[in-house]
Amino acid sequence: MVPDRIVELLSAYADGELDPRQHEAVRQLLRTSAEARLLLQELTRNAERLRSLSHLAVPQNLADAIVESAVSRSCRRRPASLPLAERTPPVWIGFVTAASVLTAVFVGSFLYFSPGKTTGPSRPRQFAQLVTPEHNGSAVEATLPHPAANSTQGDATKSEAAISPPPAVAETGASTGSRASEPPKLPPRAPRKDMDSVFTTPSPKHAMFELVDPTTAMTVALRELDPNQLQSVFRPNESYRLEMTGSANAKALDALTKTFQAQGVQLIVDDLVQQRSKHPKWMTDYAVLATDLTPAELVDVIKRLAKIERAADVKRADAARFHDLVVLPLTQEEDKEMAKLLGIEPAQLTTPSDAAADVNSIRHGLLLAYNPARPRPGASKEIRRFLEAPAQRPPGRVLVFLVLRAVTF
Amino acid sequence: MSVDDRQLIEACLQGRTEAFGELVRRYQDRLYNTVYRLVDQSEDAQDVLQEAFFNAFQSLDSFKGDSQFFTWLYRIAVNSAISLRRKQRVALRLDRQNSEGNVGAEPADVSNWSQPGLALEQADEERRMQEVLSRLSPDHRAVLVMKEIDGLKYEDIAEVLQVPIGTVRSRLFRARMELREILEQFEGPGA
Repeated sequence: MVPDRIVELLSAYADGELDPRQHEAVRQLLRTSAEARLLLQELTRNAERLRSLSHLAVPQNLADAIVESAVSRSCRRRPASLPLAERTPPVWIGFVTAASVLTAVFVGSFLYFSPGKTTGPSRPRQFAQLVTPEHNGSAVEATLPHPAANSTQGDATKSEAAISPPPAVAETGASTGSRASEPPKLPPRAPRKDMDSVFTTPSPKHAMFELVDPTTAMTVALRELDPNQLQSVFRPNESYRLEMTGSANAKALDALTKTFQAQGVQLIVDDLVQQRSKHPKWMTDYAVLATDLTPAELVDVIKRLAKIERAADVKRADAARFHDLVVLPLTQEEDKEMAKLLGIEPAQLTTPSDAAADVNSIRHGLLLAYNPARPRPGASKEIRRFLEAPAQRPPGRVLVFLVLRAVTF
Repeated sequence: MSVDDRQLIEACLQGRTEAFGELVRRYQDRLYNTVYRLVDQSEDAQDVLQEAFFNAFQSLDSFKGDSQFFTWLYRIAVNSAISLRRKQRVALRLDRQNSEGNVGAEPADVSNWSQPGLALEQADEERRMQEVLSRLSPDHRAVLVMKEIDGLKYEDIAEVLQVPIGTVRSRLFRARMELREILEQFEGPGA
């Protein structure tokens, strides 16, 4: 086993960043140690894989969008006579800036606290979802929740949630506390159908966000779950995607299976799950599909997982852990993705059937490997068995597609 | 700093937006590639670039001209990307990379991909390596992108991150170990 300090030298040797003495010492080592040579080969090969990543095309009109955004947010003028190194702002700029800030604070406070104002701290937090033009308003991605803006505008850009804007000298329109104006809208993106269109279709620049009903979107740390949070979240005949982070090891999968079993839902476990769960170092995401739960049963599943998380021994690497949960309505795009995973037509599962549930029949769900490996629908007898089960979506039930993302703790 | 850049900066400070546009067009290509490899998503990369150029635009008077303008801009963009990445949580991002080989950004040169089989393999490799990059810690990812993809030397990386060269060396070593471990997790042992 090559010690870490030697591996660090090998790493710097591969970069050509050693001094002559160290360089010679490493060369000596490589002559005598096969293990060091293999390690160097591996480091070099991995580096080569990164260097082979293709050079990406800049999205069209990005420069124009950047300039337009920068100009609209800030306008700078400097006297032409002063050279770059000698410029200092005149004293009166400071007074004007201070006066502008005080005026903005005064006007903003007046508008904020004036009677009849509907915005303010009492407005509930709203969640934004990314909408790309070709999905016609259906959400495809969850972003961090952000407080509703005090302005009457309903949309915000993801950059405002993730990157703090620089301090502006004098921002226009600051009286209502609004952020920078939204970036210019761009033509919708043509749908990609084959590999050729991957290289010719321009990327959408800035997708617009739409707000979703907060009763159907939530984020929660399971360890701190308040059961009251789940009241009225799930509605009958609706479909949900649950994104959960967790240990995704054998114990977690076992706990998940038993939790569904407690609701009377037997999970059919795909063969690929059995293979990959034997190798805890292979970070694998898994997915559960259940079409036959009542809203109350789904709430109970989440409560049980939260209970497992609270009782988990955090010091054990192999403990079953369920960390964060995001609940979202299932979108059309996700329906298609799920259908493709199972090898069926979209909406085949998400459309509730008219047939009443047979209380005597065994209810089934499906546990699949999701990332980086997925089963091939035609080749998986477990998927076939699940699809052949009767009464896939009785009325009044919910469909849940739960993705368990493997994270290390 | 090149005379051209200095003249463009002077023009920017006089409020000439076409000069700023020229600076953006001059450097957006290199920056976009770097930032994309740091943040995964094209939209995030564009947002970071927008913020980086805007920050640079706002701070032009503090740029003393003692280093290359691009180095200064690169530093702003990389640090913005690292900050963004630190704030993002894996749990809140749905999987955008579907099985059709969509890596979220188009390659600039496809002339070598004349064989469909090769193109699919390359797309698969791209997707896999981007996924591997996304699993690295932000600091490790940054040094690997700067070294392997941008080809920066240790002293340049140290200047961008404002850390000593020794820190760059040890961080690269740990980044490569983490990369090795993640590749083993993804592809199994002996990959």
